[in-house]
Amino acid sequence: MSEKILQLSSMGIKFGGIVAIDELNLEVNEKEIVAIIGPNGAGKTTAFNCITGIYTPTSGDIYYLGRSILNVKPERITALGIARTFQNIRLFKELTVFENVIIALHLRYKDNLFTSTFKLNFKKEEEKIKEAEKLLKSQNLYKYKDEISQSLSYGLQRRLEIARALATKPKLLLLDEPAAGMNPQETNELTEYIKRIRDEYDVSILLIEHHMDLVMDISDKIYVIDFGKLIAEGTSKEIQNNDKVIKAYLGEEENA
Amino acid sequence: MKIKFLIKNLNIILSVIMILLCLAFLFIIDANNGSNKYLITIIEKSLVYAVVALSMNLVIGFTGLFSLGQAGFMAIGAYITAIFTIPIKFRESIYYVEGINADLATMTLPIPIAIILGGLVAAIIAAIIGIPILTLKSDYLAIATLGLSEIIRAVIASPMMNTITNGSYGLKRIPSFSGVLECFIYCGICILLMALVINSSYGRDFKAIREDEVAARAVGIDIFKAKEISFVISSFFAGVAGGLLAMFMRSIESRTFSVNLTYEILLIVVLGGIGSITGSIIGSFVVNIGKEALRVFDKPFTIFGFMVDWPIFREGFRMVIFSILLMVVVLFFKKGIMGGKEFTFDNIIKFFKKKGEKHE
Amino acid sequence: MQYFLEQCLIGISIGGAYALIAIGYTLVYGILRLINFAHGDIFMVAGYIMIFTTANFPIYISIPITIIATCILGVVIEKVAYKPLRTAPRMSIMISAIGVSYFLQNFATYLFTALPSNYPPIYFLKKQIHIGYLKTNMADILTPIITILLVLILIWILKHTKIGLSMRAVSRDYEAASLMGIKINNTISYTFAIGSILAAVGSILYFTNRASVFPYSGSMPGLKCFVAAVFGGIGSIPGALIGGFFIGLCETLIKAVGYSTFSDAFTFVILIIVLLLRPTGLFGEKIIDKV
Repeated sequence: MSEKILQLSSMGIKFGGIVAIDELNLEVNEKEIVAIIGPNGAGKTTAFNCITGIYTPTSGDIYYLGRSILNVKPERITALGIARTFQNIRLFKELTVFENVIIALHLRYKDNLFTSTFKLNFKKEEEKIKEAEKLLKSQNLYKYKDEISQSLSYGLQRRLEIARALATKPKLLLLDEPAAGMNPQETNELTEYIKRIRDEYDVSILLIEHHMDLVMDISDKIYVIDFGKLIAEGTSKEIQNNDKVIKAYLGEEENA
Repeated sequence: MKIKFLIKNLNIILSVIMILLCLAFLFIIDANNGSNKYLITIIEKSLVYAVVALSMNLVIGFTGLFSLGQAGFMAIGAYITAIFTIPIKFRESIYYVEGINADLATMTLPIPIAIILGGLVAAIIAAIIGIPILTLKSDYLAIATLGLSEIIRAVIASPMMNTITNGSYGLKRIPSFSGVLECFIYCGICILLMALVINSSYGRDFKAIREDEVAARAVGIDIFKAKEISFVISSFFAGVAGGLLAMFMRSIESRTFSVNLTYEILLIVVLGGIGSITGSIIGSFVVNIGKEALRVFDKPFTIFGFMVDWPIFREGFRMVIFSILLMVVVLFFKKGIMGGKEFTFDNIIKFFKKKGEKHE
Repeated sequence: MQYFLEQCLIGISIGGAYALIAIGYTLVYGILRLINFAHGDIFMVAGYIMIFTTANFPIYISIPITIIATCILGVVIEKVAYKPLRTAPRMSIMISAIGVSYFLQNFATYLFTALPSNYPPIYFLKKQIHIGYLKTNMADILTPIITILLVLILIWILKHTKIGLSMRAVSRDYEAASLMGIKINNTISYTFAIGSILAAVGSILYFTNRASVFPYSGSMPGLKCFVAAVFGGIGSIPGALIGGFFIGLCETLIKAVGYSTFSDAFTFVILIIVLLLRPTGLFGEKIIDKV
């Protein structure tokens, strides 16, 4: 029996009078890869922002490991074990690859201002540096260690963003369009990569993606949202054969 | 083995050598301070300004908070240092208007303690006001901190504070540095401490916030706490620098700490490079030395034996040139002298290596 | 009572001048999202231009010259110091604005020395007037009237002319406006021109009652007027008007009861309170007022 990591129970959010998400129910279990798909503007990223505490839902609730995380600040949510990447890559642009990762490690290597200023905790510091290097090596980013992160290629930036998220040792990783802007070959590699991350780092993954091949290939479960409403959920097979989904979303592709 | 060790620590070794050279140089000028008064004044002023500039760079350049309250915090430090260090025998004549507060009349503190106390009070005020203010967005934060600085100044100058700050009459006869070496040590400690903070894990958090607040929160940084820490540390050192400035100037009045002082320091930070420790130090020296060097333009001068006595060369012209130069930096060399990089021997070696590679 | 009413008149008069400057801030902020730190110094320079022109020309010529020259100055500053930074981070433009302010102050110090220069008396404005038992002068009476008149004209321009329409469009959505074929740079120039004209008028009204100008006399009023603009809700013209009157009135009354050292600080206390309680100011939320 696997544990429930994340559960949205009829979560909704309104901006002014506009309903961005309406009654969304969603579950992510341990070591599952779950995808949210839907046309642009359907409310997928908004859902991510609700889960990570950037927005506060106006109705419903969000449970993480059985505990409500409504009204918890974003940084606390990260500390609890939910890490994310962003649709439009948000790295610390002017900082080096190494700095990007080590900053994310601060969360787990807490240090007070005094010891940190006078470098009194050098053992801890060394450990931290080692872990950052290990992480970079495992993501094949080590050779870019001292490059300014902005100068990396698009694909590497995405990978660095994932590495940075992993540095917080999450139980749940939210990936917002990880394949955006990648060519078919890179996308194929990404499929393996995401699976590898799940196994190596023991995380559950919730992702938003437009590349249907990728989604169908790796997802244990798929949720389809349109206009803020959940219109279907199930395995890739079930989704592929769902009339509503075909109409709202995949239909266009079939006609083409 | 030995050579390897040398190469590995070349940066530290060269830096230490350079600091020792500086000390030796200062020691020599200190020894003949009679003939070097002018030079000493410029060096002391540059050092004190370097401390303030770095404290400002800490919030603006490293944390990305556009705070313009530095002059106010300096005023706090300067006045506290002055109040507790002016020799008792002079106090009566200084507070000639309404006399001095009875409790303060005979109270003195050793100079370093008075300076630290000034910094602490500035830091406490910053901590309290920071709670509401630091949630404001960039330009609103700028104007709010600017306002705070003016409020502090008004309180100091108010008639109600006459027996404590001597109101708008200012304070005189503040004990000065025993020599340029003493000033160097005080300023050096401040700069070193700030550099350590910037290079600590907290400093990295500050930079992360500067780069992207949303991403910083997403990796678990408590941005509010980090901003508050940065603001408080910066204000502490601004207070300390205010105390040092008081010692340098020997007499202060509330007008010294107007908005224009903040602007001037901001321009040093920009000139040196936003987000560069050594940049702020270099910027401070360049500005202070530059202002003096441009003094020739304040009156007719001779160049290559020709007397240039156009009417444009008169009092104040150097400041016009100076502000034009600053605008040129702001507009065309946005990164300033150092451009966010640091002046270290490692970087110099790297720089020459790269050049060498290009030539080959 | 008589004293109180007289002080109120003075306050309203200062407030009128403040309102005119505050509108300059509001217009520029609305379009460029920039606190134009140099605006207060433009106002100061207008004072010096007036001194210079009245020394050579009769009043009825020097006033238009002052207004035109200030207008040109405002536009030139925008072209030189802000336009090259259009794509730079907001902090850079603010720093540039501070640099311009520093330059104008140093330049004025160089040309006219740091000592206060006498402002030319405009006899028409200085004329003593008695209303019932209240003693006042023409400037105090005229300032609020001129201010309100100019604001009405400005609102008309914004609502009914092409320039006004494009200004509103640019302030609402910079990129969309440029895609619609609005010439962004021209619109920004017009904004600075209007702001500077109002500052010049404000300067004449303000300095007539002060009698002297010095290089730093723009910086404090400048900051206060920005506070006025924030108080009324930045981007809102009626807001800037009310904010200006409010700040002017409060300041004068505080001075009148003998706390003159706190008159400046009070303005900033208001600022901090407003920013904390209602960052959008009095009228900030009504987007219709936004320019």
